[in-house]
Amino acid sequence: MTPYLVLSAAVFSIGAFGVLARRNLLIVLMSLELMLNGVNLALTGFSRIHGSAASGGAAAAPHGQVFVLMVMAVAAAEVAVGLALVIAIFRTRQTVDTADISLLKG
Amino acid sequence: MHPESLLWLIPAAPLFGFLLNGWLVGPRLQRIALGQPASAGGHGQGGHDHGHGGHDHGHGGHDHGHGAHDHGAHDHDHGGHGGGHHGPANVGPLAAIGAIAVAGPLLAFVLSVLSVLQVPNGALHQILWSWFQTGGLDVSFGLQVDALTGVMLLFVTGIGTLIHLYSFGYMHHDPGFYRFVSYLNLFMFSMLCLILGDSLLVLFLGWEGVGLCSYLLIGYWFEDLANVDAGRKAFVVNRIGDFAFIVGMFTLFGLAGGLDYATLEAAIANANPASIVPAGPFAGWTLGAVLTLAAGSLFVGATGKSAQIPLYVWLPDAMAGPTPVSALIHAATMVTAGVYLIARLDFLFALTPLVTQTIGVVAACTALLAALIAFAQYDIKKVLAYSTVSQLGFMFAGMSTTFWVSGLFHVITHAFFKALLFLGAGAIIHALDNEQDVRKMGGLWKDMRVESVLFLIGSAALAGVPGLAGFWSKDEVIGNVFVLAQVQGGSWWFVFGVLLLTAGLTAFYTTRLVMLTFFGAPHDPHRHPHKTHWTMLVPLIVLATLSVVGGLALGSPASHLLATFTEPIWTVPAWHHEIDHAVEHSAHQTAMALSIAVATLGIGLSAFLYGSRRALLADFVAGAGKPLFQAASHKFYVDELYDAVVVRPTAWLAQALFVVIDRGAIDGVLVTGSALGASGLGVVLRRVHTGVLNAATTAMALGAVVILAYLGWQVANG
Repeated sequence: MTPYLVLSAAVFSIGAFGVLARRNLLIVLMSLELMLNGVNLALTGFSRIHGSAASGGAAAAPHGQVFVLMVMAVAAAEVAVGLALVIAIFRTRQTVDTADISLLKG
Repeated sequence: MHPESLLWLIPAAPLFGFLLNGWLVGPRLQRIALGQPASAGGHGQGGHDHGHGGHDHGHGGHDHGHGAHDHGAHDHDHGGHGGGHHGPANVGPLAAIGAIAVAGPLLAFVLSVLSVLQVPNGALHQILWSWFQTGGLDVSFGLQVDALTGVMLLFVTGIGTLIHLYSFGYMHHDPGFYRFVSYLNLFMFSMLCLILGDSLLVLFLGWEGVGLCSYLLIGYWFEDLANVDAGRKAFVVNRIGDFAFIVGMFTLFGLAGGLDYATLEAAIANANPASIVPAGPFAGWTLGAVLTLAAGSLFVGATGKSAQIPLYVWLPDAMAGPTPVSALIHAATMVTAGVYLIARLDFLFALTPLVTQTIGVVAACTALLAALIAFAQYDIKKVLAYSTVSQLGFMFAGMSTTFWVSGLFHVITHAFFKALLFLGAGAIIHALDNEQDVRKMGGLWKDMRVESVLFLIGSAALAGVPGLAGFWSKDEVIGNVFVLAQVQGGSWWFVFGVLLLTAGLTAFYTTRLVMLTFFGAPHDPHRHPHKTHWTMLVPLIVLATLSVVGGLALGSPASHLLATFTEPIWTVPAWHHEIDHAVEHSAHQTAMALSIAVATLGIGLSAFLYGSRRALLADFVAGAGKPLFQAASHKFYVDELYDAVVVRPTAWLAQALFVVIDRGAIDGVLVTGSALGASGLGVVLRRVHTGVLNAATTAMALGAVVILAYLGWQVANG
């Protein structure tokens, strides 16, 4: 099952890099989705692993897959809110570049 | 209904008067009497005391912007309670306030009489409610009337009622009259709690209550700073005594496991002082040591409330209060609380000869010192105040002999004649527009015949003229001390000598006061003393009657009413039964002869000197006697001594603590320091917040990595 986990880790890392390094808020949001999906992959992978070990089928250990559905639902909501925020920021500041949005500077 | 179930009404009656006059209707009535609209609030009524015009003399600045209740009070302090020439607009409401004020103590008096009539059938006891329970201590709020409480009740409520009546005549011109009488009522309530309580804790409640009322009433004319200072001094000095009182209570609780008199008496009375305490906080001590600690502490508490050396200094200053207060609180009732405490715990003091011996010496010294100071005072109330301190010394000396009834007897007769003297002095002060200096009186005999006669009766009783109240009780005390001097010797000879000397001095200074006040040439031949209001005369006449017959009826060869009535409750030391009655009898006769002799000598000498040889006295005071007179008129510099030894070091210590601990450690390090630390940390840490989203997310990711690494490390290491 290692390939699943390797793929999952790769997707997560790409997403994390995007969140940390990119300055366009839209790209950051998309990268965030990548991270979530990386996690989803891991969850299904583990579900598969543990399902096989117990009784030969993923159906026997559905918790991981249930979590994936949960993550998807939350991610959808999060994206809706996130995009709304991005639009609101763009309307007020005419930019979505994180370097220009620094009101929290101490 | 049986009086037992109505005991609660005795303290409740004046408490109700306090609530009515102090809160519910008193302020409103007072405003009506002062001619203010009843609906006007308590503030911003700038000029309500116009009716008292002409008495502002320089204090006018105080008279604006205060609450409407009191701010004319100061005028009266100096401007006169004078007879009706500048009265408030409306006397009716004031009479209502006065009637409410008198009703409470009067009802208490009637109920007291009813209860006392039941006492020969057994003590009355009513438990009102369970006050509090904690650990092994279960205190219920209970009242009891036995012979001792009954005697106290009768004279406290009786004299209290008279003085409330007198207060109407004396104080109703004062713009704060309702406040004055409500404080007096609150005092009655506290005093009744003190004497009615069935445990030391209820007594202590009343003890603190009377202290509070004393403070409030001494500083009643609070616009004069001196009065406020006197009130505060009284309060603080009393607190010192109260601390010792509390120590005494703790000791008794540690020994007996309870504070009600029944428990204490069961644990202590007739115990063997040499036995070892088996358990509790004092396990291993001898019982006598514990009892000595308790009795000694309680006596120190009593020296505060009852003005004995070393804590007597507040009482003379307490004369700053209105004269009815001086009569009620600082002569007749409250200051005798310490004597009552000893009488109440007679079973304790009977077992502690060391403490009673000390009490005897302290009391005798107090009596002598105060009498000497009284010689050189020119303020009529100050003379009476020092005389009170001196007579309190006699009461304590009576208690110290463990012939308890003699101390109690002197408490009662002293209440009669000293209340009479104070109220008589009040009538004079009132009539002369607040003149208290005897040098400015003189010759009052011609102008105020009735008051003079009444005051003379009181003076004669104080001086120990045979037959009058003070003579019998003072003689009883001196006689008992003489008995002890013969039986036990030692310090009792000292006590006896000092008391006898003091009796002579008392006669001397009392006569001096009378001579200066009533005889000789008037200071101002054109004065017109005001007529004394009937409400002031009636109490004077009643008290004068009691001063004449009180001693004869209560404890003279003609009648031993007091001794017979209280006989069942006293616990006396075992050696009492070994005294030879013949010795006792002859001792009393000798003492009586001696005290008549010294009283005659004192009165005669004083009358002679002040009657026809004043020049001689003046020469003496200016010449050979100057140092002594100076010292006495400065109260032997005791206040200055206390100031140097106690007050100022305490103030310095407080100042040092304030600077080092309060301002340095708490304000500086803890308060300001923590604020500075936080803000300094903020100055450093704010640089971390760049406001750039990526930096923040990076920090978060690094944090997550650290936490995960830690968790991983934990898992790897089991």
